[in-house]
Amino acid sequence: MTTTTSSTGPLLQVEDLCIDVTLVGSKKTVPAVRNVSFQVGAGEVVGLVGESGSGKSLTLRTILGILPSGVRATSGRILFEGVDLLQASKRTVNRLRGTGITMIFQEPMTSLNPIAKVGEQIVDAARAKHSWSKNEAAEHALSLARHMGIPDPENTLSLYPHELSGGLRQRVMIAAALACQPKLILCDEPTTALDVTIQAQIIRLLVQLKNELGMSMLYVTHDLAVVAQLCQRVEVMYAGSIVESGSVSDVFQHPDHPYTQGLARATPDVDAVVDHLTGIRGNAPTLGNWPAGCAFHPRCDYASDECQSGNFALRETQPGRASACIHIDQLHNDVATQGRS
Amino acid sequence: MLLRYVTRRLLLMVPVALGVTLLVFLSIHMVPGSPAYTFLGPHATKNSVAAFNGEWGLDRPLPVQYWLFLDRLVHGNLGESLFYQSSVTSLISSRIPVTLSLLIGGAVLSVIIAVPLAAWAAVKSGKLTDQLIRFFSTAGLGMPSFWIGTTLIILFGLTFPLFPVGGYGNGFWGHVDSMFLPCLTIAISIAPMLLRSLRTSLIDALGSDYVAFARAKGTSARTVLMRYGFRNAAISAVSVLGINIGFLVGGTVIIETVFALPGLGQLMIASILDRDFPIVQGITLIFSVVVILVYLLTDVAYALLDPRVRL
Repeated sequence: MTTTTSSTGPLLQVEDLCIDVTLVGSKKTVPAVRNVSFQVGAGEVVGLVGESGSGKSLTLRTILGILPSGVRATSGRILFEGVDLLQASKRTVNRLRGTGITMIFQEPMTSLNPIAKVGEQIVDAARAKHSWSKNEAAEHALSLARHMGIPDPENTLSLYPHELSGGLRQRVMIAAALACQPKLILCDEPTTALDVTIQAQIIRLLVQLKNELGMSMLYVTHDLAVVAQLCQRVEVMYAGSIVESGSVSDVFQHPDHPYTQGLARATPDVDAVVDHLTGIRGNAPTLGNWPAGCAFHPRCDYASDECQSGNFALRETQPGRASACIHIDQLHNDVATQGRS
Repeated sequence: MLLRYVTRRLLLMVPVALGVTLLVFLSIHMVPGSPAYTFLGPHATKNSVAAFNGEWGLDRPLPVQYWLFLDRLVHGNLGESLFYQSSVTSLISSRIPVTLSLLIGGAVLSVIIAVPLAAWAAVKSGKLTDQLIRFFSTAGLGMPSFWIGTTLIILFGLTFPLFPVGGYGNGFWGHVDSMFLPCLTIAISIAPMLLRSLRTSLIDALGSDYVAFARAKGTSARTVLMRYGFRNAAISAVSVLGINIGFLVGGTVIIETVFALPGLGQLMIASILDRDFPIVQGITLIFSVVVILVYLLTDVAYALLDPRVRL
């Protein structure tokens, strides 16, 4: 395999990333991601959790430099194997796409070229990079398809995306993403558009691939069950900031932030018999309308006057864990009392 | 599949073309004036008019006249011109090359103009380049073709005499030389429409998830633009081009007049003024067949470009 020159640092390190979005109607520029920092180690799977509009997907797209027009990273650094992707030349970023980092998307229907055969789409990037002949490319496409568990690959690869089922399309997308053997794969809710049984199959495939190929993954989702199944670490995002981070078991069992607690309580659990699910009251704030202070305070049961202004940066609570909440003690006390009653 | 579709469409062409000739037959007989007076002059005697009409069968009832026209048509005969002492078929076939090369040349030239400009505008979407290209395409859209034609003649025929001001020229290169300005006139009048539709669909395609994913998996910028962007954008642009060419078939009448080209359009105008019914009928039939064929070709191209379309 390839030897990494700087094996000391993490594979991906995001530091103080800020992203601005120019709104289409008013032409106003508003922040969409604020001072986000996290890292993904080699072979590690990190979950990025939050509601829609919290900036998860934009963070992923910024890492690959495939932002839609009107969206811009304003400050911060994105280091991949020590190279700052925000400063790197177009050529360097182009070279890293596919071979270093890749991404799989939420909607397998709209993410594949509707007028090209899937076999061609799986290998077109790799074929150009390795200057494969047509036969070599077809050979590689076949072996990738077999690896992804695509049934009857000889026939399937000559079909168009609209002729495949949703689950198959997602397998095709994963095959295409892995064709250049990337070290880090960014997943933008790849199972959200699929029905539950297919969802489980795709997650099983991702786990299997991760174990076989030793890839790192950054997995964006709002599904905590998926995070629990796949990830070692989790970053919880709310209104463009990370509000809590830590190992999956720690964060889910003993949340250090009222938002994480709310998310956990709102997730159905088949094993536990619960009378009703508790939702988080109110709605997530829309872009450009983020409350001052801790953005979560209008929906928070622990909010005090101090929460309404000031800067709520992530602070370390224990080694390897951090939270942006200033009422952690109260939160823990409450959980303890509830447990006793 | 495709063959069956094309055959069906070609068969459907028969009633449509016949309908068109019926409409033209009726309307041309409703217009005041008669070929006898144009031919014999305003002071013709009743007897000579009657003799003329009798000779050409113009004194018989309209349904009978139409029936005779159809009867000849089935035998591949479009009748005789009232004025030119020649068969309509030979008159038309001697002029078809002029009109067809005008149409094809104009279409090719408009693609040559529109495609690169659309790509440039789409890639620079929202920037100054894009706005300039859009400004000039709107301006082009607003200019009537007879004005574009005369302006081109003044500019490149008289001020800078690079091209002949009219006529069809002699020999192949003579034809090319004299057809350039007329084709350019056509191109300028349809390129804006093509450019705008191509630009819009290219911007859509480049902003799509499949382009984002293509870039994410490491596909080169060139391949993304060509195979992911252009091939998808071309699907809707092909229809726009087809409709415009169909529309242009009628427009060649004006351009042939401006550039004094001996094509079908000029013959059509002269024949309408002379009330030379058989020629008008014949040319209308040819025009409608050409329009229908262009639309059929458009649909076939559409189906070949987009695998989701089943014919």
